[in-house]
Amino acid sequence: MKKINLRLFITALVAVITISACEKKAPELSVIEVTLATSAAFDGVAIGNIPVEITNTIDNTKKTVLTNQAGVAIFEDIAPSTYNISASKELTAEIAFNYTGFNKAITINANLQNIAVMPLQTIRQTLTLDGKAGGDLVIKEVYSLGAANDGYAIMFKDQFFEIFNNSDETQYLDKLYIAYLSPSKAGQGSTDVPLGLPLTSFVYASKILQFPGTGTQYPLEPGMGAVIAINAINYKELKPLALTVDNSTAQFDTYAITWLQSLGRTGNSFFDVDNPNVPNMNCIYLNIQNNGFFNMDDYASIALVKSGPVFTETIKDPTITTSEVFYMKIPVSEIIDGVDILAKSSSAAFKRLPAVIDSGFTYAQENGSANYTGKSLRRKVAKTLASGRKVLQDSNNSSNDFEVVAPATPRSYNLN
Amino acid sequence: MMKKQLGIVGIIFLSIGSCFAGNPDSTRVTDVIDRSLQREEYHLIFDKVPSLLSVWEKGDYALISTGFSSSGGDYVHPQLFFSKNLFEIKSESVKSLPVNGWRFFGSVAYTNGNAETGKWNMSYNLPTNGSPYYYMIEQEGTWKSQSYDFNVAAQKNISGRLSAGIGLKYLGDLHFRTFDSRNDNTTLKIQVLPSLTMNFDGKNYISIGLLYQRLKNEPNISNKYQHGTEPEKYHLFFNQGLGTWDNSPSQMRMIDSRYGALISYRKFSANSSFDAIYAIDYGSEEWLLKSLSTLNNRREDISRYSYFSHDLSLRHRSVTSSGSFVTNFDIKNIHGDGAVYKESTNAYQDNYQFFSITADLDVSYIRSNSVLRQLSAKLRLDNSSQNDYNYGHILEYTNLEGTLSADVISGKNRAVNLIFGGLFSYKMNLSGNHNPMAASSNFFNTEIAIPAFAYHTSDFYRAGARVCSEFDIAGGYRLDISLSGDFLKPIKLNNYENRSSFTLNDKYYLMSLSLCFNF
Repeated sequence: MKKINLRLFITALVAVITISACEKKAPELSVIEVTLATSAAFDGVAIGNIPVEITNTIDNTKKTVLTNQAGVAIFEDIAPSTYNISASKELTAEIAFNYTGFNKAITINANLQNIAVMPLQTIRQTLTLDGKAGGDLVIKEVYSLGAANDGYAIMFKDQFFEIFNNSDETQYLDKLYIAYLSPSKAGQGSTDVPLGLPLTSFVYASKILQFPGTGTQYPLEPGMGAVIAINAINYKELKPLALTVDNSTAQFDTYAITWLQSLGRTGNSFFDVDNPNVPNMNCIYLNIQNNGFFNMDDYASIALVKSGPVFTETIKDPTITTSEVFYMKIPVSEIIDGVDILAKSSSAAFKRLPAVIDSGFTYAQENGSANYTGKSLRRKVAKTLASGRKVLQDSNNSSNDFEVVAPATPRSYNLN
Repeated sequence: MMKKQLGIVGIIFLSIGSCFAGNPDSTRVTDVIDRSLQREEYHLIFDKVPSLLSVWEKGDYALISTGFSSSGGDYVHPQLFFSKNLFEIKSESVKSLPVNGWRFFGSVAYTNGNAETGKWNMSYNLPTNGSPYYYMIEQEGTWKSQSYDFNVAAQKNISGRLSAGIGLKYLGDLHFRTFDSRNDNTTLKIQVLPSLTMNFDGKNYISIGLLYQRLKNEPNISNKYQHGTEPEKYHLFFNQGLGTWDNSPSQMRMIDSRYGALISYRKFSANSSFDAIYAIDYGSEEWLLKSLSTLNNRREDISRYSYFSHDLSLRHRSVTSSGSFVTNFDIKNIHGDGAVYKESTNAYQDNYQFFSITADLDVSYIRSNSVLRQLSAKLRLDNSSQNDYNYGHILEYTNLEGTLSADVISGKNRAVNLIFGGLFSYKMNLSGNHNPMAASSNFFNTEIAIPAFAYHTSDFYRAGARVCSEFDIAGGYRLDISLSGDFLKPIKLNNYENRSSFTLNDKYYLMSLSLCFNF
C-alpha cells in the first residue's frame, strides 16, 4: 500500500467517524404547566407571584417557578419522570380575617402527588389553594425510627412524640386523643401496598391513645411541649454510646399490658415497660389481638384529635387478604393537627392524611431505610418572640414545616 | 484455600514452562529491548489473528515473570483507585512443531492485590465499553482482588497456502470489597477467536476471523454491620445514565455477549513487514434480576446496553543497517445505546448514548549498536461523548497526549548490561462540553459528573524513568530485572467546572519492580 493511500484512508475514516459522532439524539425533555386556583372559601386571594415547587420523586430534585399574574407557572426542560407539585401562600391576619372570620395568619396550600410526565409531553395541572386556621396545639416532634449505635439493644423502645402549645393561651390536654394512622407500610419496600380506603372524610387508626384527666388537670402553657414516651426510661443512661434520648422526664407514658389483660388479651412485657412515676395514657384501641403495645410504625403518621367523640366504627383493610386487619375510622373534621411521615421522597402514594390536614408529607431520608438512625422529625420554628417563646411553623404542609434532627430533641423549644 | 489456589497456579506455571521450553529465542535476542519488541509483536498482531502464527518469524520463546506494582495519590478519577498494590506472576511461551505444521502460544497469569476506591463505586472498575451500568454508594471502600488469566492459541498449516488458528481466553476476576457495604464481585470472560489465513505468494497474506466473547459479572452486595449515623452514605444505587438511576436496586447479574469479525492483511519482505487488521464487534450487555417474583410479574432484564466497536490497527516494521523502525497506529470507535425497563409503562425507555474514538500513533527507532538504544514518540487522541437524553445531560471531551521516551544501554557485555530509560509526556485537553440541562440538581451531576469531568479535562504531565539489567544464569538462561516509576502531576484545570476532587498540588505515582526468567 502506498503511503499516500494510507493517509487518505485514515483521513476518510476519521472524517466518517467524526460526522457520525455529531448525530446525538435530542433531549426528550418535557413541560409542566401549573395553573393556581383557590377554593370557594378563599375566592379573591391574589394568585400571582406565588412560588410553585415540583419535586422529581425519582431523583428528589426540586425546581421552583413563580406564577405570573394569571396564576400560571411553567416548568420547561424537565426530565420525564413522576412529580409532586405544591404551592402555598401565607395570608396575614388582616387578610385572613376577610376569608376565615378569625384575626389569625394562615397558610393556604395546594398539592398534587405522583403526576407522571412522559418524554416530550406538556402536562397541564390545576392546583387549588385551600386551608384552615392552624391549631393552637400542634405536633412538635415525632421520634419513631429508633436509636443508632447501640447494636440494636434499644431498638425502638425509646420512641416518643411531643405536643406543643403554639398559642398565647393555656391549653388543656385532658381527654384529647392521639391516633396512629394506617396502613403500617409507608412505601419503603417494593411490595408495600398503599391504603385502599378513601382519604376524604375519614382517616384510619390502628392504635388510639387518650390523655388522662377530667378537663383541666393537664394544662400546657404557651410555648411549652408535653412529651409522650412509649417507655418513660432514661435510655441515655442505659446506653451512653447510643444516639438516643432520656425519656424518664416525659409527661406521659404508654402502658398497655394491664388494659389488655383486663380484656383477656396479652401484652408485650419486653417492649412495654411502665414507669409508675409518670402518668399513663389511656388505652382506647389497639388492632392487634395479642402481644401488642403502643409503639409507632417506623414511619409514623399521627394525628391529634379533639376530645368528646367516642370512636366505635371500624373498617377492614381491603388490601390485606391473608388476614383480617381492622382500623378505627376517625372523622377528618375532628382532627386538630396531623403529620404524615412516610418512608422516602417517592412515597406520596402512601399518604395517610388528606391534604386539608397535611398537604405534603415528610421523611427522614430521601431514599428511606432510616430505621435505627436516631433521626427524628421536628417542626421548624417560624419566629421567636421577644419573650423567648417560640412560635412553630404550621402551614399544614409537613414537607415545609418539618426538619430532620439527630438525636431527637424532647422539649427543645420549651421556655425555661 | 489461598495456599491451594497458589499451589495449583504454581503447578500450571511449571508445567507450561516445561512444555514450551526448547528452542530458546528469548535468550538469543540482544537485550530486553528486542525481547519487548518480540512480545509486543505477538500481542499486537498474532493475538488478534491466531492463524497468522504460520508466519511468526521470531522463533520460540518462554518466560516466567513476577512483579509488584504500587500506585497511589490524590490526582485520580474520583470514582477510581486512590491506591493500588498488585503482585503478578506470569508465564508465556511460543512453541513450534515444524514437522507437524503446528505452532502454539500459551500464557497464564495470576494477579493478587488490594485497592482503595473513590466514592460512588461498588464495581471495582468502571465499564470500558461505554456502558452506564454499575452499582454505586457514596462510601469509599477497600478491595482485595485476584485475577486469573489463561490465554492459549494454536495454529496449523492446512496446506501450503492455507493456515488455520484458534485463540481461547479465559479470564476470571474476583474482587472483594472489605468495607461495608460489601460486594463480592466476580467476573468471568471467555473468548473464542478462530481464523483462517491465505498465503498468496509468500509475501502477501489475507486473514479472516470470527470472535465470540461472553462476559459474566456477578455482584453480590451485602451489609454486614450497622451503619452508624451516616446511613445515606451506604444507600445503594444502580447507575443507568447521567442522572438516571435506580433508587432501590435488586440483586442482578450482568451478561455481556459480544460477536465480531475481522479481516487482516500482511505484507512481508526480507527487510520490512506491514500489517493491517480491521475488527468489528457487536455487543449486548444485559442486567438480569437474580430472582423473579411471579407475583409482581417483573421482567428479567431491566437494563440493557448494545454497542458497535470498530478497531483498525496498522503496524509497519522496517529493518535498516543501523536498526529498525516500528510504527503502530490504532484507531478504535465505540458507539452504544442504553435502555431501561420501566415497570410503569411496561416498556424499555431508551435514555443513553455513548460514542468514543481513541487513536494511538507510536513510532520507535531501535538502534542495533549504539548507546542510544531506542527512541520513541507517541500520540494519543481520546474523544468521548455521553448523552442522557432523558435529562438532556451531555458530557463530551477530547484530549491529546504526546510522549517522548528514550533508552540508553551501558556497555555491550552480554554477561551483564544495564539499560536506563526515561519518558516525558504531556496531556492536554482540546475541547470539553458539560451541559447537565435537567440534571443540574441531580446528585449524579453534583457528586459524580462534575468532579469526574474536571479530572478528564485537566492537563497533566507525566515523567517516568526505568532501569533494567539482565544477565546469564546457569544453563544459559537469561534473567532480567526492571525497576520503573511514573509520576503524574496536574498543571491546569480547564475551568469547565467550578469543583474538582483534586488540586494542582496533588499528584499520582506508579512504581513497579519485575523479575523475568527467560528460557
